[in-house]
Amino acid sequence: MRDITYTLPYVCLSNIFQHLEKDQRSLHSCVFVNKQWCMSAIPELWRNPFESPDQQQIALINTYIACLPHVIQQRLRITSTLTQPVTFNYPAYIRSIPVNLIFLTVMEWCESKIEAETPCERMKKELSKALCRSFLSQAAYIDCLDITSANDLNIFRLYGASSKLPQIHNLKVNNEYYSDQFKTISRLCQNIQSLIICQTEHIKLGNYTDLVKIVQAQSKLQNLSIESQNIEGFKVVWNGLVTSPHARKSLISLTIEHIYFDPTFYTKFLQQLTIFENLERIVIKKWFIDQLNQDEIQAPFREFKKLNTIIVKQYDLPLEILEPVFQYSSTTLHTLQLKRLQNYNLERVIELLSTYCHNLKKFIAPVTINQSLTIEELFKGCQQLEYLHIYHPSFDFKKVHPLNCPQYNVFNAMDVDEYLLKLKHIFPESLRTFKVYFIWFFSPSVLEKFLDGLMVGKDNGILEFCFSQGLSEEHLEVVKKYPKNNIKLI
Amino acid sequence: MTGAPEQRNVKLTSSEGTEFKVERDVAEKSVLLKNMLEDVGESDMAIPLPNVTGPILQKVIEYCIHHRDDPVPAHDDDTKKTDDIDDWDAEFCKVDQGTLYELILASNYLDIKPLLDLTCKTVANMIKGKSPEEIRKTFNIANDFTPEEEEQVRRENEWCEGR
Repeated sequence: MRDITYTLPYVCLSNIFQHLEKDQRSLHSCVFVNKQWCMSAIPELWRNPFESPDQQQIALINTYIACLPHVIQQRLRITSTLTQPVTFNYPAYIRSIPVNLIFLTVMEWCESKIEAETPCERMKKELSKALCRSFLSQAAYIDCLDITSANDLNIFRLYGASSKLPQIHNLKVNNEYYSDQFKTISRLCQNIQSLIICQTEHIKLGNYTDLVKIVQAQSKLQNLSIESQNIEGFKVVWNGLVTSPHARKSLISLTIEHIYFDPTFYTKFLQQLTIFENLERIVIKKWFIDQLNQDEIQAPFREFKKLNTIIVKQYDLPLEILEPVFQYSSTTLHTLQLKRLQNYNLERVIELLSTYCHNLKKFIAPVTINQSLTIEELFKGCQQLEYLHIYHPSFDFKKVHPLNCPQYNVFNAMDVDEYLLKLKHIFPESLRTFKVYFIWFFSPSVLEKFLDGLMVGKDNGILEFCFSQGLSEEHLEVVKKYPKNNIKLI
Repeated sequence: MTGAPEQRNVKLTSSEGTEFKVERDVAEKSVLLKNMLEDVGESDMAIPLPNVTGPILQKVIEYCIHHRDDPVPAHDDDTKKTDDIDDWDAEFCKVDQGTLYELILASNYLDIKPLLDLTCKTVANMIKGKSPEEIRKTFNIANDFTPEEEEQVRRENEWCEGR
């Protein structure tokens, strides 16, 4: 057999390994295939070693310590268990510095290695600093910085910070008190494209002023995520964002999570969302509102210019309160995805979409088996629909096989022979993907009539029925007759 | 009213000298060819591609025709996933390993990023979940580590060994 990848250039092997970025086990295997693979896989494996769930922290620190200059090892009075010179300069490959995780990992190493009489607390801090300094000086560049909960270690005071950290594109912060770091960030790091702000509940409002400065200093901020349990703090950050001349143009994606709105602010917030000229995507998660009167949100709104995707997760409010968002994105909205929603009013959602969102192309939602019979209304209202995926609210995407989902049983099955044929005639012409994860039962003869002349599944689409009970060889024989419909019966 | 301007064909010659005619927008899926065509301007001369064989060039053209209307990726997608290959692409990549290898090299040489990503993703999927020995067997690769070298690298990378 021909040796397929042995002579692939470094750039191609590296591309292959980048696709395994989240699969450290496979990357680890690649390291031991041969020397060429090892040299290409090591930089990928060591990009972000601190954020791996199953890592052996002590061994990781051992290797990094072995990469520290001897003079530093001597000064800290530490030695690695690796006695030979290391094969690679591992700190050079790191691209993400999660300060607090590094500190916690070092803490674990210290607690296992350092004898009781050694001043351990100081050692943890000094070793963490030494490692961060080594990353800042050795890495070609740093892309991500996470300073959440990093109160005790100000990375910006370390040698190398002023040259490497201005390049970061991703920053994660929370609102604990580290005003010094926030002030430095707003001055030093102005190339941030993705910013995550996590806020805790009990915080002095004064600290938010510094967070606002970070937000306002960014001219390239595209993705912003705010998780806030403190509405007053959120208001300060939000006001800073809407008054930022950069964000109005640069912001593309906005995630707002865990917010307790008051009705007056909610209306103002919805109105201000339209300020962002290039906003394409909104993720709404865990919003709460006290006693909202529907009439209060009928204030004048402007049209969204580019909003095309709305994702709603873990949300218990009536979806009607999002009506202005649907209404004023009516020409641009093409994707609505609902995730982990229970007991919501699907009929009302379909009514809203049919009224406003005639350009909707993609709809993904959890739906009960009885509600699944109402989707025909969606087809009537949204004639541009190309992609529809509905699934049972308890469907677990991590356990796709029905045997792994005990809540499914044959008693939840529904005979859809007639309905399937009815649907076929009201499918929008553009529909190419139709995925149904329920126990829909249909006979082979109905399946054949359904598939005859059907466009769904063609042109890179998918026609998929998951958990369809009673599938037989006869069904599979029918499927074989329509290879172009790309049918999956799971 | 005038229709869309007629596209000029571009001639490409494979390593064996086989000539292929493709429409300009198809050829321009390759950044290498796009730059060459911009530099050279209008010309009937065939562009020689000495690093690409005829059968591979045929496959590359098939890919570029299918994806001719795809938007140019605005920026590098930093979340490279291996489970989002669309069905046409998956079918396209159902080839023997030698062809897959040649397609990787050709897409790298011609600078067709989406094809390079697709073929590399396909190889990545073949690697997933395998041990080093299984990977060597799959791709017929010889282990050139000495036992000492392998042991040293193993100790340095012990942190991500499965618990």
